[in-house]
Amino acid sequence: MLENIWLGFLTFMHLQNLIGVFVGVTIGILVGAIPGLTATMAVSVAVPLTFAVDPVLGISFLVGVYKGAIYGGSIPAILINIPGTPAAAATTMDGYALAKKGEAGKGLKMALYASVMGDTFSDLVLIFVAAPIATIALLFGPADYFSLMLFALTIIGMVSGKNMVKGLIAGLLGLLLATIGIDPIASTPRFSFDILQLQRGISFIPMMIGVFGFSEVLVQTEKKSKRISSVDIGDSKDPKNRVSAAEMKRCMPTILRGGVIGTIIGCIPGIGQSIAAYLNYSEAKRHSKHPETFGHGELEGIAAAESGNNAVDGATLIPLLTLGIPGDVVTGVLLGAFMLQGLVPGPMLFENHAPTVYGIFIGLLVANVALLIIAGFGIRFFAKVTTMPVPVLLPAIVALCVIGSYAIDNSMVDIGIMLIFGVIGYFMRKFHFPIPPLAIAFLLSELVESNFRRSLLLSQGSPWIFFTRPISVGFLLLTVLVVVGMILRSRKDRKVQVLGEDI
Amino acid sequence: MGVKKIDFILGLGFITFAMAVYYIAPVQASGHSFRGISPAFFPRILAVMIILLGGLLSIQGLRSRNDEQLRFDKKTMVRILIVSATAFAYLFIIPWLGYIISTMLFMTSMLTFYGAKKLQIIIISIGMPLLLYFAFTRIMYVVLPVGYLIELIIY
Repeated sequence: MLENIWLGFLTFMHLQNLIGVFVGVTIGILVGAIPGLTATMAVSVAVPLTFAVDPVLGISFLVGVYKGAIYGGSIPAILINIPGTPAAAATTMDGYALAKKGEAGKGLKMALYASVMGDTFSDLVLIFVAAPIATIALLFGPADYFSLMLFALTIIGMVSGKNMVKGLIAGLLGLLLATIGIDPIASTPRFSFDILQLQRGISFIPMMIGVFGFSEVLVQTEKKSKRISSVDIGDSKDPKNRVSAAEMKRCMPTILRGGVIGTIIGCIPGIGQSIAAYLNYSEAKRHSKHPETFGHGELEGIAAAESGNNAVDGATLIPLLTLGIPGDVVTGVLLGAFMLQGLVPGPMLFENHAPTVYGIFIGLLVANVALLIIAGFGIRFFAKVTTMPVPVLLPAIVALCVIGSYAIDNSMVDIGIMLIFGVIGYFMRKFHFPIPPLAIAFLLSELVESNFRRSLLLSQGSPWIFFTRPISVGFLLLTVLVVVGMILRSRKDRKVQVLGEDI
Repeated sequence: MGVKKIDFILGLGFITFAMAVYYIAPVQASGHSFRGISPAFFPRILAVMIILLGGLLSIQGLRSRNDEQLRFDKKTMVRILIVSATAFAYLFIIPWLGYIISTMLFMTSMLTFYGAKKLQIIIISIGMPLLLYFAFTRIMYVVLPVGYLIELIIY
């Protein structure tokens, strides 16, 4: 283990990788700080920039963008009461109240320290548990893999939106869309309608850029352009704008709790940053001696939300790297980036590409340091970005989406795929269909199908193979439990809602 | 239009779509079948599941108490249509006018549409295409289209 970490350190420590991470974090904070532009969009538009470079540089750059954007979301949350990314929604509760008291600088600094600590905790857990989990995952057969993916996709489908049926339909459509192209086992074309371009299948990176990038542009187009006024961040030397040692000490238990909660949530597919932030916020409030101050500019509230949401980042990579299952959309896009590099996430990654994987791990830790340095020094500049009129940026984002989709394969068809999926993504959002299940199911479809068919080939067509292997049975049982639990809970919620309506 | 009605219609839409997939699968996904598992097998399972869930969505649409109204005013839809149409037009002019000129035209029209200031329009629509062109061709070695019309003029 330590030998691998040292090897990773040597792989990472090149000037270009350091520059890549710093540039990535800066871009991430900028995008995150602009309300309406999300971390997922930032990462998916940035993927095409990485295909020509070394995997350690490319992936570390993308992870830098990811971490930067999740932190960047807290800046407008504190200064203008609008979360820059959905992950920062919980930060607005105390952040803006604190800023109105004239302590915006203090809030921003606490958000930064809590984010970096939460992130680092989660990265360390990833580094130490990933390899052992991958070793267990080596025991998985096709049937076990199929059941695991069924479990992951079911959760992602059920928790992603407000309506479980819509989430599951989105997931099934993702699986179905991916069957266009060459059959993975028989090698014959499917649903190509004799069109040559369709025989190649739908390329996933242009599709992702479409559903997360171009559709976001269309959503923003609905909104009218207006300048928002921001709270002044004040003089950084003023003690009111600094985090004192006593305050840091007071917030430490909350930050550590955030690290643990965020890491656990990050390991479970489909839940994500905003829930981790809310969960840790309510835990911090419950443990506090003065819960009444929460919501009125409590520093601990900011620490809770930000440590919780950033601690999800590293942990989402655990299922991705060890099992090849992306836990959320950003890791879904990262899975695409790995495949673009010719690396297939999953247990074999640790066997075949250990220096690269550990190099990326070191990149994660360096990204946290970069975040601390860049956000620490550049906060005044990033604060200005929050009031930037979004419309001016939208054409530039479309231009990036177009060139990015083209560059991967020098293909005009890919630009068309990106635009079509952008429009599809826009209407999905309009009709309240969640996009994450569609995107993740699309990415996993080939694996789901080939493991399913391979299992049936092994069992000579008998479906009992899924019920006789212990690992597979375990995941199937978990799937049933989750489905039943979610249905029961939604019924209960509905009853409460109905009662509320009656009163 | 209310969510209830939309869900009901969408549910029926999914059922129709999935039934079509189910029936065309054996033709469109033909191929060697091994122990009864052909390339059409997996898409057909998915189609059946979509039919079931589509039915559930329609029933939900009929029974739901929540009837939130979705915003589909004409003005918004026209804006969305303009942006999408301009983006598709951009895609079609790239092979003719080449990457740089098409991007400049696209950026100018879009920035004007979004109401950017004159100076912003000039700087961004000239600067950004050139910057992207050099970044992608020189650093990442991507070959960007020169454009048939431009080629005619040059050669």
